[in-house]
Amino acid sequence: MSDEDLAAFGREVKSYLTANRPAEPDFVMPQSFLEVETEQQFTYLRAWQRQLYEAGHLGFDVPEQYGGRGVDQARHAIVMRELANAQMPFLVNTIGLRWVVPTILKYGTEEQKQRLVKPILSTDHIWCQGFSEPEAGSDLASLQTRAVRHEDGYRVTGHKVWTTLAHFAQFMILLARTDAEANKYRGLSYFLFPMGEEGVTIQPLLKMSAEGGFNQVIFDDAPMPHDALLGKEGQGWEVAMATLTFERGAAGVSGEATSGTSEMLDRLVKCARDSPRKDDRVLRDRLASLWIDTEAARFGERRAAQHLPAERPMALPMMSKLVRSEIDQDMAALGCDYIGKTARLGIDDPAAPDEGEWPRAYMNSFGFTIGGGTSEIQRNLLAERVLGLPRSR
Amino acid sequence: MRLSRTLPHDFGFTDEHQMLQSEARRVLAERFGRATLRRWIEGGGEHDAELYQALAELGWCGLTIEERYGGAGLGYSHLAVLAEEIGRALLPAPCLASITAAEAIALAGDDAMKVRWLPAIADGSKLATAAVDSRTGVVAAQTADLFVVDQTLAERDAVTIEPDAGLDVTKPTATVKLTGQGTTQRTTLKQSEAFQTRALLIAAAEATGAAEAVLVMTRDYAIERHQFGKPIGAFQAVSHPIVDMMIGIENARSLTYACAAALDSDNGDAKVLSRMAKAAASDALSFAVAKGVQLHGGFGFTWDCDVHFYFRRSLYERAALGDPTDHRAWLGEYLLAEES
Repeated sequence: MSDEDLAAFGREVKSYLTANRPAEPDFVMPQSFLEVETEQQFTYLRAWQRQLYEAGHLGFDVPEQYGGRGVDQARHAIVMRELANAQMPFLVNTIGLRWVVPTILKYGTEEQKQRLVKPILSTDHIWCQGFSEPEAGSDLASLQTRAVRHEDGYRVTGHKVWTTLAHFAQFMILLARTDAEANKYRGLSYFLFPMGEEGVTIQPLLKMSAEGGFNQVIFDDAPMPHDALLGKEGQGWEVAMATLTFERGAAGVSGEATSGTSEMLDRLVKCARDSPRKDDRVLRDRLASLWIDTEAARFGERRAAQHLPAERPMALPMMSKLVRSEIDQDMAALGCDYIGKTARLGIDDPAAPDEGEWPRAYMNSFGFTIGGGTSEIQRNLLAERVLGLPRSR
Repeated sequence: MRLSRTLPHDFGFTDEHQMLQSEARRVLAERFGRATLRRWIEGGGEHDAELYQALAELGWCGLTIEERYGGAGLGYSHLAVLAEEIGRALLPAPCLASITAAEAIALAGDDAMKVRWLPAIADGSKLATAAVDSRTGVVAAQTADLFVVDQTLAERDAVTIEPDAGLDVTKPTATVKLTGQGTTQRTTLKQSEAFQTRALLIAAAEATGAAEAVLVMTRDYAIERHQFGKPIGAFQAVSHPIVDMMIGIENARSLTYACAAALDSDNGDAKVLSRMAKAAASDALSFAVAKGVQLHGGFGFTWDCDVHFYFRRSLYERAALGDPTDHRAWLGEYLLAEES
């Protein structure tokens, strides 16, 4: 598509969104897909994503034969940008859309692609992720959840943690150990686990912000069919790494990732303007610094998609999550400083500016600097894989 | 937000840019590698007319001068690539000073002035320099034939030149004053915003390149230096700051390229982006040289380690054309004042 056609498409999406904004909810909305707690929140968000899908605006990263609109990076980026610009509700099936779809498209059988991709777009299947365990976080490969072969398939026993959306999910991408004798990486397999009730216990976990949204999931001989296996037994680590690559940075290439950061900056500027500390030069310097960082991240994503610099082609995609999560955290902290004394107040206090958004955002920002690969691990990966520095472990 | 989104999807970067970068890097590695840099600095830092002429023949002194005036007629995205390579080598040869002065003439000179001077700048027969910042000295004044200062285009016989004792001998500066006599042409060459933007872009690119050199040096040292039975880069206290150097540099590079593309496409964003790029590049360089020295350990603290040449460059660079605090103050005011 030419630049003019893309611009026209952008306008089309924008006017659709303007005309079809869902009604303001009368309940507190979660700030992201990581904090979806109540049935009410979930139903609202699911309906929104479904509506968008039915209007034809989702699936520009999915081939048509699997239910998408055909792969078109440019239009995908435009849709994501327009959604952010219009401050539309987020897409609740984010794990499914961003992590599961590309993984299935890469490793799945034709049957799996035909069966499982389209329902992710339509929200018929909500997905969660079962990777981390209480004893296996940054050191994911040491995970212990077992998937034991059985005549009907497998039986799963173990314990997963930080499982966002488990309470609403029909499926889980599950990384489990199928061979306890093999080397820790080669003993792992990757499954598309249908969340049944037998042998599966979901317990909500509470975040520091007092919000829910994630869970621990305990498996006790839970049954799993043969065709849940994605790829081959023993290939689990390779497939999981692909998922983590999608989780950590691939989205950045489409420009989607920094839309949220840019949108947060807009809110921070408004907060600054409305604040009694608007003229404070120290705060203003920090604000300008964050604007610089935001634009650098935004243009960095665009650069990553094209003629990559000769030095180190992987730098920009691999640093995307690290950089954005830290900018978002600093913006939330600055927002708290701009509102000053009222940063101690929660959403229930009428004196809390922006309904207590700033301290809440600051607390929730740690979900991003820790989850999806901690900032410390990200730096290790950048050091090793991009700069060629020796392994630290 | 507050910047248009009309940049071409590829920033206007092509294989041509890649080739320009590879060629520039190769030429500089051959003609002005780090051993040569050290010898040049330790040997008193004399202007190398032969080298300057060779670079002029490659088109470096007139890269953005229009072809009809003898230049290469390339865009700002090409200039950003070249300036970064020049910064990486800490090249003292004042190609960028000449290009900057040529920008001033191209923006505001009359046709007669352009016809008279631009071809000579492009072919290297005349060295030129412009006063870009009234608070710091004019770079490469001692070797220039042509001066753009105080809305005037002056030849050497019309100025007095008082050299500074700068810490960075690769960027010799001087106070340049018009005598009121000699060969001058009154022009409208005042410090226009358009000129300022271009000068900032060139400076940002050059600083980014210098930071990049320090990153590579420090990374290489972290691999080769062993302590406690392993390369020191295996320790996160060493590797993480190197990663942060890289992040700062990639950010500066993204903003520099975006500014160049904004200038090439004339989309109105270059004024803001040039200040962002300069602030980011200055900070990237300052951070790189500080960590660069630190992570080279005892050796890093001595004259014999090359990092301090870049450290001195960062002292010059931060002062010239406004330091990050100045630029952030401007950007902050702009951001808060503008109607959303």
